[in-house]
Formats: sequence, C-alpha cells, structure tokens
Amino acid sequence: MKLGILRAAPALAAFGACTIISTTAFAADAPIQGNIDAAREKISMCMGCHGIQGYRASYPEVYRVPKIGGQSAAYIESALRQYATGARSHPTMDAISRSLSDQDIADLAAYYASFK
Amino acid sequence: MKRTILALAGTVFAMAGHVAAAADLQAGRAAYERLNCASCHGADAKTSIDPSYPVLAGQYADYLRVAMRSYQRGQAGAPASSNVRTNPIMGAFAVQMSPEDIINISAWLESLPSDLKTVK
Repeated sequence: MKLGILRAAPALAAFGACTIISTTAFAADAPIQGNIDAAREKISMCMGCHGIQGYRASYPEVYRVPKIGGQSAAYIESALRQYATGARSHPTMDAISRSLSDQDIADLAAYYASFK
Repeated sequence: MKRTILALAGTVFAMAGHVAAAADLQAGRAAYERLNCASCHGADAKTSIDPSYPVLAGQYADYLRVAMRSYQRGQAGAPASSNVRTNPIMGAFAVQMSPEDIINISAWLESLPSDLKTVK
C-alpha cells in the first residue's frame, strides 16, 4: 500500500502542477472589473488634491492639478501605471501610484470615469 | 498726485502681466490642427481614437502646459528627477511644439466644453 502511494506520487504531483498552472492562467485571463462602490473607500489619497476646485500642485512646478472627474477610465489606468513604472515622473503621483494594486487602479478609474 | 501715479503704475504693471500671460485662442486652434493633434485626440479634443488617450477639452491650461513640457523633457532624455513623461507618440509630437504653441494650444483646449470636472 505504501509502495502504491509512492508510485502514484509523480502522477499526483503532475496533476497538482497542472491544476496550479491552469488556475493561474485563468486568473491572468480574467479581466479586472472596476468597482465604483469599492473606489469610495480608496479615493482618500486622491481627493486631497484632485477633489479641491482649483487646487495647485506646489512642487516642483506650480499649476492646477488636472480635473479627473469625467476622464476616460482607460486613460486614468494608463496614467497611473506610467507613474508606477517611471514612464512619468512626479514625486507625489509616483509614490501614490506604487501603493495601488491592479484592482485599486481599476476601481479608481471606473469611479472617476463615471462622472460623465 | 503721488497716489495717482502709483495707481497708474499699478495698472500698467497689471496690464503688462496680463499681456505677457495672454494666449491666442485662434492661434491655439490653428496649431492644434497644424500639428495633427486631432488625429489621435479628435477634432473636439474629447473624442479620441483610443480610450487610453485623455480628454483634453476643458482641462486646466496650466496643467496641459506642464504635461506638454514634460513630454518635451522626456523626449530630450532628461532624467526622471526633472519630471518627465516618456512616450514615443506624444514625445514625437511635443518636440514639434514651440513655447507659443504650447501656451496657445493649452488655452484653446481649456476653453472647449467637456464633461471634465473636479469631484470629491
């Protein structure tokens, strides 16, 4: 009996590996859906600047921070990823974007795009 | 008299400041067309050919100026510490813009209607 389990071990291991691989592939394929309601718990880091009418970024250049309500969701996602990867650099946005998960980014993008 | 002179001087300074900052909306519209911005961002600057391209109509002009200068710095190979944006498409377009183009295009874009707004 003991020998039987040992003989079956490679097959079990292979089966297990396949299951893990297929599960991972499925997770990667499933598109992340932005959740507007979930975003309400995540906008606290955004509204301190983007939620104030006419708020000006003071460093390193002085300008009104962009209006993001009504902006395209795909653009907001793209911009956040560019700050996170360094394709865009800005001290505040770099730090905040790197703290966001893919789900956070999708939720925030869906939330701000909903103001159309 | 002294007071009048001071007031006049103040007015002149205010006007000088205004003239220096004044942007030409019609020149902005012309530059937007000349540089083919509409080929991606749309003629109305809010109907882009790809959803990952931003709505520009109604956006703050000073933010747009900084964004375009950031693309210029990125294209020039400036270090990340100087607030760059590196993007092969926008970088190639941005380097064709003169400082006046950037001021005028930004002002014209801000004057256009759109759904962009500041929300909590």
